[in-house]
Amino acid sequence: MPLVSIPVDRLQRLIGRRLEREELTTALERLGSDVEGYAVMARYRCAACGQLTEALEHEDFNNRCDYCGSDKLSAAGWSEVVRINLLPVRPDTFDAAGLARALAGILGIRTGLPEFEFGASGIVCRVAPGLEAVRPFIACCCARGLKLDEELLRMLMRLQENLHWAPGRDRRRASIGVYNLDAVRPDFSYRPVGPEEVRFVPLFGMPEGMVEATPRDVLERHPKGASYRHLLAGFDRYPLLSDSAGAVLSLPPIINSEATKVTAATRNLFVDVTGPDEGTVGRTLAIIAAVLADLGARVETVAVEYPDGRRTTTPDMAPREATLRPDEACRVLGVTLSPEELAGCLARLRHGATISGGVLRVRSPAYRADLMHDYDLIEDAGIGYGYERVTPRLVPAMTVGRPQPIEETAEVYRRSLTGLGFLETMTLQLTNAEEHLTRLGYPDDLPCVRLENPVRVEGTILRRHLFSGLLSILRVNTTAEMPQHIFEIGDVFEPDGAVETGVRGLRRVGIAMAGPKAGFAEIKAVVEALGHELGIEAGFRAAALPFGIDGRCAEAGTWGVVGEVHPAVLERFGIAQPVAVAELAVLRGE
Amino acid sequence: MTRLPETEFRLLAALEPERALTVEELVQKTGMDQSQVAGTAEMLARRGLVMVLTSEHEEFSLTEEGRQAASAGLPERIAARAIRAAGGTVALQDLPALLGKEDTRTEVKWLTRKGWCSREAGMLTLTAGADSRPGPDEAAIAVLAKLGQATGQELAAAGLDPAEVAALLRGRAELVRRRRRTRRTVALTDAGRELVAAGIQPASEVTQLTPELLASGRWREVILKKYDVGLGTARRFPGKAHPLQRVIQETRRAFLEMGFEETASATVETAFWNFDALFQPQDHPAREMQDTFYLAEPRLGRLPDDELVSRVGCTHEDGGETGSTGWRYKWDIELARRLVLRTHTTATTIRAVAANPEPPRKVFSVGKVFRRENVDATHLPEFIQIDGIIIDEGASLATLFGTLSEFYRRMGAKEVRFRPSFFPYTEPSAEAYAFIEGLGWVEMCGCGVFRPEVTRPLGCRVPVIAWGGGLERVAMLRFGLDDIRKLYLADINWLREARLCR
Repeated sequence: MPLVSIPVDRLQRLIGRRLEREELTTALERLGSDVEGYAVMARYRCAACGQLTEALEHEDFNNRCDYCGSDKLSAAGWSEVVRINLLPVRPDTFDAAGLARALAGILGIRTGLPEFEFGASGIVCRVAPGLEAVRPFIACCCARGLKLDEELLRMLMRLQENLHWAPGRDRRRASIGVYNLDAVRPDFSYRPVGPEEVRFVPLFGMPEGMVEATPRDVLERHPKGASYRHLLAGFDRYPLLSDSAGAVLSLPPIINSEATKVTAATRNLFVDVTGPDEGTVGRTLAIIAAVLADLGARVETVAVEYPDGRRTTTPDMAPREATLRPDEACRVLGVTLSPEELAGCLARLRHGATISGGVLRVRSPAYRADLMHDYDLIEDAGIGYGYERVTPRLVPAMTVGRPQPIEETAEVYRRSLTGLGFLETMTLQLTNAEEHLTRLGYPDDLPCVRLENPVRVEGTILRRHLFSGLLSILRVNTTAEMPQHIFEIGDVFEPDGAVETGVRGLRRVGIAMAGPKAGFAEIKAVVEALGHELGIEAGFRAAALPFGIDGRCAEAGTWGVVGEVHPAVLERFGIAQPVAVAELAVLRGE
Repeated sequence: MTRLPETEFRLLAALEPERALTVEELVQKTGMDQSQVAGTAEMLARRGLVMVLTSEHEEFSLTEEGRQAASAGLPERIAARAIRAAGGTVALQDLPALLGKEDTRTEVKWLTRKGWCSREAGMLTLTAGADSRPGPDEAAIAVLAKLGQATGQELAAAGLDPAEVAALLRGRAELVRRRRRTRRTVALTDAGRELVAAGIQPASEVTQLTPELLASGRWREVILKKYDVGLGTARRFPGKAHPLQRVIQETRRAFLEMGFEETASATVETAFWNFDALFQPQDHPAREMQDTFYLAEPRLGRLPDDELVSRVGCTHEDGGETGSTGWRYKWDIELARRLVLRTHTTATTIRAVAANPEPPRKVFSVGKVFRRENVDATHLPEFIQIDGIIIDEGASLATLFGTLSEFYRRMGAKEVRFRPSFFPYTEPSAEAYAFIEGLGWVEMCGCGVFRPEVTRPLGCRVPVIAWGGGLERVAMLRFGLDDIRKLYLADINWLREARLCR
């Protein structure tokens, strides 16, 4: 989970009282936040692009701008911060204002539904036809009279980035633009444009040698274009937000224009959110609008007109309404609470709950992106009540423990082999063709389960046998005392179209004996001992193993194989001791 | 009649009832060497049969020169005889020629000091009676030559005063050595005397009791040698289950004892069971190539019956019949067919719910899961996960906490506590922390009540509580490992050392 740094002083001012660290930590944990610790965060302004970069004190900082990479940075203040892991399900708590709203509730300072009254700006955003497939929805608002400073500006930018990440799914589901309202001329137009249709100066610098860029230039040559052009791939017309004079605000979801850039001196903002799902777009704007309002801005609505004539007013802060049965809530939480008590618990999570006809009528903030079901409210009631107050108890139902038969059989192999003095090893199931096939003399094209997106070259296929794992253990233990008698019990995998998941997993036991006296007779005696314990009649027949010595390998019916490892293979593994191995299916006799 | 080891017999037999014998005497009498005598005497002393007495004394013995003087006479005695033969007077400068040696200072010194010669104007002249009888020093040398070495006591017995001998020989260290010596003597105790009087007999002593000794009955005639039980031995190592496997078995035992049935499913899983059935939206970050291993070969698996699949799909899109809003997107059945390496064993337990959703059921699974992680000291792309679920009318957050408290106490926790957390498929959700002696609070697992969006499409109408967590970290804490890789590319010495007991 990404970490977010919340300025403690601003948080306390927004909550309305001072909190000792311990009290703050406890309250955050009661909300489900993981507190990493407290630190000092320094801010630097980039002389090249004007953006702010943050760095924790006492942490390695490369003195480079986060945005353009320039090293022309100058100090721009610092804050004491609390470092918490972002809760992706609660994007409304990603910043100091939203977190303060939630903390005020859990601390009992301000409970119940927060009310937001927004006046109309009179501004209209008209959506032109042609965006249905690429990015159909937009929601906007204005925020006037905001007193920005460097810390707040940086906080808002960080909120924007984190909203892009979590509800925005890396801008796919929601992309946010924040503009200097005084630099643009309402109304606005959200419309499709061709790759060469307009020219503007994007944020964070122009591609080299250019004065103005077309959408195509941005996609092909601007760093943000490179990061997000996949979201517009396959379309020949791109979404564009422009003002009444035709000036470009942004090319969603890629980049804003330089002309609309927000600085610490900006007082009036215009905000838009675009995306393919109106609900996500609306809730994301509601989060930002609530934050701006809590920070003291006068938020105003914008009318959005769609090509089909539909007209919406954004942001829509109307609470989500639901009913909750108190008995259902008590059953799921396993507590006995009256409807009034439940309403109180919900109020601490900033829901407005009233009781009517024995059920709870719950009104929840529009910015809550995570409320999909009554169970979400039940969880909030539980958090409001406090998990530490829930009395643990066991379910009364009597059930009987029953192991998987294969595990019981495996345990017989394990006990027999440890009784014979063998040490159990465990190796990784992911391996690679070189180690697993080539080095042991198996054909390279032996059908194996292959990964599409391996994370490293050592693990590209699932193992088909246990031999390479055993030999790799012997290889790293050449200096340990001989003889070395080891085994592994684990699954091997073969592609098999007859199986539901296309792969057959087989439980096997692999055995290896290394040392001056290791040989066929020795390992065969071990296999025969296992056969005796498991009730398996092992008839040995000469067989060939790709890594075995000719004439010293055998198969024990369908149970498995035994053999002495060929010196050439031992040499390839760097093992200077004779080694005999066996691999058996984890079976028991009839 | 007592049977004794040969050495003990010989020593006891050599001792005299009324006298202490020196070790040297015993060496002579028993024919054993000095260390054998000392060792045997020590062992007998421990059993109270003899006493070993130690005394310190002064010992005199002759040097090589001393022995020469004893046979040929002291240098001044030889010189006096020669001077007498030469007429009683000799010039100092002629003395070397007379005695046939260059350096005659010793002779001159003692001739004059003893008053055998007067020295005047470079002439030595014998005095009257100078070389008549041997002096006391010559007598002492003669006695020492006879005895080899002697204590003061022995000198006195030979009629010499040890103090006088010492004084006489002062300044003549070239003839006589004086040393302080420790002497050990051995004497029978009363118990020893009784034992010897009752009769003792030698028996041979053996180290290893052999089948031959047993078969022939000859063990009756031998003595089994006593060992020094404090001595070190060669190290042995038992065959052992792998430390992580032991934690797995402990976990399974805890589950089985608590009435859970064990379930299992394939490591390779369809995205449907790994994600979709758990209500994880298809654009959820955890499903991305960045986090989950997808298979290139084979690529697609088969889905369960259409009705179930469609119920799950509808739940994603608009909540279906679960009372949820759903995720509000177009669910793609093709993505559900993709094969992945399962990212959690919840894929296994959710299959168990689908197979039989009728309460009451307690089900658990232990198995390998995969996450697309880079390898470092705390991460591996594959690890062991446990998962437990309870399908029950009484399943709730409270019974979840109660079950986990009991479970982790069985695993060695002193106390268990819970904190809110968030997972895509449980609501409410929590994290369980266990207090482990010496470590403090350790995060053990994520847990919660399955969302109705998960259980209802599978035909389950009662609450289902679930939890899951990795086991490697538990094993690392238990065995004091700081690198997870050690579990899977193990040092055999570590496996041999890792003790079975907690």
